[in-house]
Amino acid sequence: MLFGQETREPLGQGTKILPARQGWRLALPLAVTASIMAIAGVLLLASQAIERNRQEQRLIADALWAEQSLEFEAQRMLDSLLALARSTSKTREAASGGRLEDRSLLQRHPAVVSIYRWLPGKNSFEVAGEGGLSDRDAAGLREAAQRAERLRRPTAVEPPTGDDPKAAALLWLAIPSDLSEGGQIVIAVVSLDRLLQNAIPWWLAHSTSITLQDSAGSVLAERDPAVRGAGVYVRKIETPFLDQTLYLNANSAQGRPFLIPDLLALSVACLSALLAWTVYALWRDLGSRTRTEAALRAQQALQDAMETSLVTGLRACDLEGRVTHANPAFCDMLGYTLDDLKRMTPPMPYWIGPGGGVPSDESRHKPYESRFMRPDGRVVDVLMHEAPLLDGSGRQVGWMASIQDVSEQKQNAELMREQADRIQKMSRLMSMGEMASALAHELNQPLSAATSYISAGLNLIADPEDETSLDDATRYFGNARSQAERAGEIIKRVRQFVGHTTPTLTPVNLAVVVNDLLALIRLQSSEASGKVKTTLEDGLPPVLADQILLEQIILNLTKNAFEAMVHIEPARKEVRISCTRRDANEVMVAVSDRGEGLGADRDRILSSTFLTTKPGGLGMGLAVCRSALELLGSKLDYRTGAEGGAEFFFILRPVHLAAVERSPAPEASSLHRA
Amino acid sequence: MTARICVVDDDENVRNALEALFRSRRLRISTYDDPLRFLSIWKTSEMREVPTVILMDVRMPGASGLEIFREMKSYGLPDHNVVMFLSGHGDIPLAVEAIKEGASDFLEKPFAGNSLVDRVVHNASRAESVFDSSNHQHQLLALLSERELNVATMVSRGRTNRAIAEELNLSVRTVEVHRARVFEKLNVRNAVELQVFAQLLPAARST
Repeated sequence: MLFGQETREPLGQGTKILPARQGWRLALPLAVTASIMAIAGVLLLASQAIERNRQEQRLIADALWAEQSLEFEAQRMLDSLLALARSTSKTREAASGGRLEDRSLLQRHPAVVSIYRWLPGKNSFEVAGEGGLSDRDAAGLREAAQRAERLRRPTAVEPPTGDDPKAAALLWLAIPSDLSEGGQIVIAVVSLDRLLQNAIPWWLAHSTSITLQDSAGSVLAERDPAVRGAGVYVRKIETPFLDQTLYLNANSAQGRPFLIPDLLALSVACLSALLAWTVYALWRDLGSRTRTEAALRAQQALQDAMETSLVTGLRACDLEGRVTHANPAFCDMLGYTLDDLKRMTPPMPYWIGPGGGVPSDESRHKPYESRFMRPDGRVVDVLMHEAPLLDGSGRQVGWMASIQDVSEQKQNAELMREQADRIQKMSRLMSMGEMASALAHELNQPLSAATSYISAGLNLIADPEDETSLDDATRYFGNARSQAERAGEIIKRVRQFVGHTTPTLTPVNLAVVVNDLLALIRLQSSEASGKVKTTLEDGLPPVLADQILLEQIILNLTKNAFEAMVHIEPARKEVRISCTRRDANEVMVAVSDRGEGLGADRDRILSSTFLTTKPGGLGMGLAVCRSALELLGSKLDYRTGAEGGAEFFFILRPVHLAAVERSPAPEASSLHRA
Repeated sequence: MTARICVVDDDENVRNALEALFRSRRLRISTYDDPLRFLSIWKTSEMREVPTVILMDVRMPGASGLEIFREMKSYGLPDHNVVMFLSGHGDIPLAVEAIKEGASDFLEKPFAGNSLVDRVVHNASRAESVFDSSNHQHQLLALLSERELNVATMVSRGRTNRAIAEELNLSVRTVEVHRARVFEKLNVRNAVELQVFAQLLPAARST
């Protein structure tokens, strides 16, 4: 749990599957959102088009209606003017009455600004209505009248505009009456503005800018200057007006229809935008999550790999000591699986020693050595380093330990120690020779002195010089005795040096001792061909002995054996060591050679301290052996070997017997204590 | 017996014992405990001029007997100074070396008392006889005239009569006369016997 090992899975699997699965996860909402957006867009566009169409239709209808209305108004005005013209010509005399009619017409048709009468015969104007007549206008009017007279039908003339903008909004209508009866021509100045005002009702004008334009497109009149056309829905309709062609231009104030015409569409758009954003945010979030997850996985994989390949064992446990996690190295070290370890409860079966494997505050931060018992019974030496395991808030939730297998180092240390032991043994062996030489010199001095004194004394007795000679001789003998005593002292001192003052008696396995010594014994042989044969009886009981003394005894005997075979041809040289069981209470250790044996000197050699059959020998070896064996409660014995050489042997007691025999003796117990 | 006997040993007991032993045989010895001091005394005293037997322990503190012996040899050890070594076990290779280098004798410790004395006495008489004979030869050589001494020297170096005659500007006959007189005075019969005197004869001098 702590290390997420629950989610531990082969690294490749997870990362390979991920993109496909995630793609689907992403594509679906994206596709849905996209289609929603697309449909909404298409619908909006369609509704916009429909709306536009509808507006267009309405405008067209409006424009047509307006044109019709205008035409109708114009026709009505023209009809009135024609009637006026006709009546005027009939009632020619009642000029005043004609003026009355003019006024009523002006009242009925506000579009008519003023009425002039052209009398072709008089070549003059009569004016009704407002406004004077400028010379230029008069000339224009005359021209219009003459044109009407000439054409004999109503004519519309655009007043000469000049610089006067007002004039553009005017139209002159020249209406001829029956000229043959001496009629007159009625000229009406019509304001196009007013015409529009009358013809187009307000409800139409307030939403549409309606203008009258000439063929060149310049605006002649406008229904309501306050209303501005948006220029989106425009309709131009030709409006023939007598012989003039005017154009009615309807320009709706309605602008382009909005793409989002109402709240519903707006909310749909907003919601789909929100949806899209949400999907995008989710996608981004997912992306970053995926990246983080991948990074985490990689991290985890690295951590796992590190942990797996680590030689050092790692173990996490809770405060009760239950294992919550362990890396493979730790499992290998212990020989249990992780699941086994997790199931265990303290005291742990693998734990050797106190505490049962539950870390305590004492173990914190301080490496300590411990030993683990594997299920196969093998014991592993480990170095442990415990540290408190803290959770995110810094609270201690358990213990973390790194465990190092130090068995090998321990074994190495053991080996080193054995090596050192061996070297020590070697040096002990070497020092024997040196010591023997020093001892010889030390002993030679008093012995020389003693023999000299004795000779001198004997000389004096044999051939006395005078009366004092005998006294001198006595003195010399005394000196000789003290010199002999000095030699004795030296030997005593040497013995203290050589022998262990107190042997430590322990159960010793003879086979192990002999096998350990073989390498050293081979070194004693000067030639490589020197053979060492061992006969170790199976199932020898351990004997009670001081191991070091025993080793020294055997080494001395083998050394002795090799030295006894100096003159023998190399191929025949052989030292035999045998450990055999004589009976239930006795184990015999024997060392034999193929030398000449002790022969007649046998008893003398065995009893004397420094005597030897070898030219270079000192006889020290046997003496050491004898005294060492005395310390072990045994004695050195000799017999002629099976092959004619010398065979030295001694008897040792198996442990149980020795213990029974020795236990009541107080010095034995003191030995054990030592 | 006139030869002097010196014992060099660092062990006082051995020195005293040997003194007693030699005294019981009515012989006087002088003892030295320090090998280096003995060496300096030997160099400066008249010890080198008289027949002397030196008994030396091989193993001593300060300097080994063999080292002292080599020192004496390089200083000039006369034939009538006899050096004997006393050795304990283990020094045997050393003692053998000493004998090879010209020491007269070597005794292994522990020694049997009187046999040691006998060996010393034997060596002492040898030293004396060497000393005496060289003294006698000196006396004989003193009898020769200067010319005869020259001739004797040349003869001892193996020159022929003719060569001697040419070198000394003498007639061969004269050389023969001188030669016969030399042989007669020195009591030798031929040139081979003259070799006994060879060491005592001075370097050839040309006249």
